[in-house]
This record gives sequence, C-alpha cells and structure tokens, in this order.
Amino acid sequence: MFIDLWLFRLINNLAGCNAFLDGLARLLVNEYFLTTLMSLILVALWFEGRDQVMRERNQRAVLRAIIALFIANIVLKLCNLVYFRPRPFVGQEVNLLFYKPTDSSFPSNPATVGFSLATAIWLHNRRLGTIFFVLATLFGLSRIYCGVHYPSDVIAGGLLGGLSAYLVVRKGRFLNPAMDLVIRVGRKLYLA
Amino acid sequence: MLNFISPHLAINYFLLAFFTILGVLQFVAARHGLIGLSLVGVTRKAAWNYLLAAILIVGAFAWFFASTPEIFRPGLAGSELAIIFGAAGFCALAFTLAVASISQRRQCGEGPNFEVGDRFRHQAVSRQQFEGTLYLPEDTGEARAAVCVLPSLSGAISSHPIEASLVEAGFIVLAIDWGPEKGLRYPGVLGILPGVVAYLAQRDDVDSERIGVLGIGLGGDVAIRSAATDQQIAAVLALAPYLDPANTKPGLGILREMSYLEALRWSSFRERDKLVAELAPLDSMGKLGSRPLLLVYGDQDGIMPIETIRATLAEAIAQGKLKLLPGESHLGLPCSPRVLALITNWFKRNL
Repeated sequence: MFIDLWLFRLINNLAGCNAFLDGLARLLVNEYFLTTLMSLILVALWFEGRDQVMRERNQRAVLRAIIALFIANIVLKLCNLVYFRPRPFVGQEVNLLFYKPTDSSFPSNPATVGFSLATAIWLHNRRLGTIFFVLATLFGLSRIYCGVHYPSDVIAGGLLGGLSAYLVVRKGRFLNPAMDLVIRVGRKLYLA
Repeated sequence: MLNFISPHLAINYFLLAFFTILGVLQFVAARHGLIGLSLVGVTRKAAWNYLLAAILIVGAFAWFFASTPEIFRPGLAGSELAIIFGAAGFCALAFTLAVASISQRRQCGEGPNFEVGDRFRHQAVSRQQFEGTLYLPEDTGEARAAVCVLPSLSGAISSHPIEASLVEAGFIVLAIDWGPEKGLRYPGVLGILPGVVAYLAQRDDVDSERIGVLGIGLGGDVAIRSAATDQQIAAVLALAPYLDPANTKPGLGILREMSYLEALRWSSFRERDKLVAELAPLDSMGKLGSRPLLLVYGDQDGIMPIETIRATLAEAIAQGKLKLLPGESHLGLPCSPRVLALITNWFKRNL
C-alpha cells in the first residue's frame, strides 16, 4: 500500500506543473478518445489482408479481442460487486484534472479495456500489439496523473485484461465455431 | 446499465463514431483498392481516399472535443459507448456501400467505339441449343476464321469491346446470349458450343477448320470443358475462368471489382459454384491435347487473387499457357486495350 501511495503521489504531483502535459492527460484520460481510437484500429484490421487467408487471420484476432474485452468486463463487474475501493480523491488531497467517478477504483476499467485489447492483438501481431500496449499504458498513466486511480488499480486492470485475452487466444478453441460462423456470414455478405 | 443520461453527448458520440468509421473505410478502400467502399472514385484516385480519410477522422475528433463539454462530466457507460459505436459502424458501412454503389459504375463497353451492332453487319441467330448475334466483317468472298464468344455472367461488364476488335481484325464472331434466366444448367450447358460449332461449320463464309472459342469468367470454364470433347474447336482462350468452385466465393475481394449493389447482382446466380464443380475445367485442360489454350488473368484480380492463380495453375504456367497481366483486374480484362490486342493477335496466330 505504501509503494502504491508513493507511486500515486509521484505521478499525480506532476499534474498542474505543465500546461502541455495537463492538456495531453485530459485528452487521454476521458472514455472517448483512446477507446474510439483502438476500436477504429480494430475496424481497419478487420479489412486488412491481401488475400482471404490473411484477412481471416486478422478477423479472428479482432473477434478474439472483442470476446476478451467482453469477458474481462464481466469479471470486472463481479469484482466491483464484492469489493469497493474508494477513489484517491476521497479522503485525501490530490491534483484532480477529471470529474469524480463514483464507482469502485479497483480494478481500473480503462486499464482492463486497454490491456485486454492490447494483449489479444499482441498475441496475433507483435507490431500492432505494441502500439495498442503504448495506448493502453498511456490510458492507465493518465488516470493516475489526473487523480482518479491508484497505480495498483491500473496494474490490476491490466492483469485482468491481459489474462482474459491470454485465455481467449490460447485456450479459447471452443470459440472457433462461433467465430467461423461470424466470418462465414461476413463472407456471404462480401464484408469479410 | 443503459441510461444515456446525456442525449447531447450520446448524439455527438454517435456522430464522432459515424464519421471516424467512414474515414477508416476510406482508408481501407484506398489501401486495398476496394472500389465498393470508395466514396470518391476508383482505385486510381487512392490519394483522394487517403485525404478524405484523414479529414474525416481528424475533423470528427476535433469537432467532438471542441463541441462536447460533457466529456469531462459523468457521461456514458462503457456498454452505452459500445452500443453507440456499433450502431454508428453499421450506419457508416451502409452509407458507404450505398453511396459507392451509386457513384461507381463501370463504363466499359458502352462507348460509341464498341457499338458493334452499329459498326458491323450482324444478324440474330436462334437455334435449339443457343441464341446469339453473328457479327460479320467486310465480305471478301473467302472463308474466314470464326470465334464464338461466351460473355461473362456478371452483368457488370460487356464483351462488346472484344467482339468489336475481333470483327475489326477480320474474324466472324458469334456472341452467345446466355445467362441463368436461359436455364444455364449442367449438362445442358455443354450443348451450347457443339451447337455453335455445327452452325458455324455449315456456313460458306466460315472455314470449318478455324473455329475458336473465347470465354469470359464462367464462359471460360464452359469453353475449356466443351473443347475437351469437341475436336472441331481449334483454339480456346479463357479470360479469368473460375476453374475451381472455391474461386466463386470471393468474399470481400469482390469489392475490388465492383460496387456492393453489383456484387449482390453477381451473387444472384447461386448455381455458379455447383456449375464450376460439374464442369471440372481443370481436369479438362489436359484433354485438349496439342490444341492451343491460353488462360488470361490480371494480377489485380479481386475474385481470384494472384496467389490462388499461381497455386491453381502451376502446370499451365510451366507450359506457357497462362498470361498474367500486371495492373489488370478480373472484370476489367474485357475492356483493357492490352487484352484486346492480345486476344486478336493470339487468334490470328492460332486460327
């Protein structure tokens, strides 16, 4: 807990010192910019590939990423039901650059979203996955910088998202028939 | 879970997702030459697609962050965002496919130079096995070589340029009028070319030893199979035949060739894969013996990608029976001046 608080102070104390960093953090911290950007990359990945074989590989990666995100979110909601951790701004002075969320701080929802997508894509395509990891890390860091999450919230969210993606990609063979069906329908509609 | 507590934010987010997805689709259209997804034109104008994509994506984000102060207040839940993004994606895709279908129309074979009926003597021919139009070059009193043309069934492209260039080169051309509406089924379809050959062979102006066949798409498959059993067919040229039933299911690749509306029309002939399987043109190719055969494909073919062509036709490549034309697509072949020259020169050499 001490290290968690120390890390939080280290990052959050930077807020308010540099207008550019504050502006960048405010762009990254909200739920709209990075999530939409990652979703747009997934849309592009669905259509990527010179031939049908390459396209199908990418489409499976997109479907796995969506399933991983879905599963991670269900687990996160269950965590929230059994454990509530107050946000950093509750009961202590922080540099707050964002609105005050009222839900549980642990685990971090944005980190769960970002890292589930990043891990699923990284297991398919290292280069694109690295871009996703950078975006997910920025998402998590901005949440600490703006005072709405502890570092441990972000790490837990990242682990939850990463584990969910790993299980879906590596152990999710039972999902293949459903993915086959989606791709088959997509092909019939000339969209896959 | 679904409250949409801020309708203004929800609407703005829908618009952000709609326009950014529209931008991504333009990026995809430019990157992969998908004319069926392009709002601004065909693949040669890829730079415009990239520009439009950048404007849409950057512009939509800039507008959203400038006009939506609710971003920094409690707003939409993750599930709400996902639903709005999905709905916007559906709308953006439908909009793109519809606009691209309206704006993309192939003009091949519709120009005045290709009006074969106006430029050459012609007559309708109707027999039990086939119907078609016979185009005749200037009468010189000598028996000429004849070419039967089996056009594409796609409906998106005309075979008139080929017919015009062949007649211009001095061939008698019989263009078959065929299609699913005329009961295009196996084995009835195998009766067409023997009927055509018998008809042409009994004409005084045709040299019965010099009758060739040119098939486009499925017409190529029929031509190869018919020539395997009909020794009177002296030469076969097939433009982008399917050869294998798997090649009749192109998926997204078809949008490299035509608009979505045209693709839906193309798919309305549901028996295509079954017919190709029954014709088994790959097995028939070996039965042509020493008679000349040429298969022509473009390396930008969206229905049969170059990798598929190379894998399917390794033997034909080794025997020099395959011509792969750089920069040409599947449906663009009958319009290409390079292909028209290739066809006339090849028939002149081989008939």
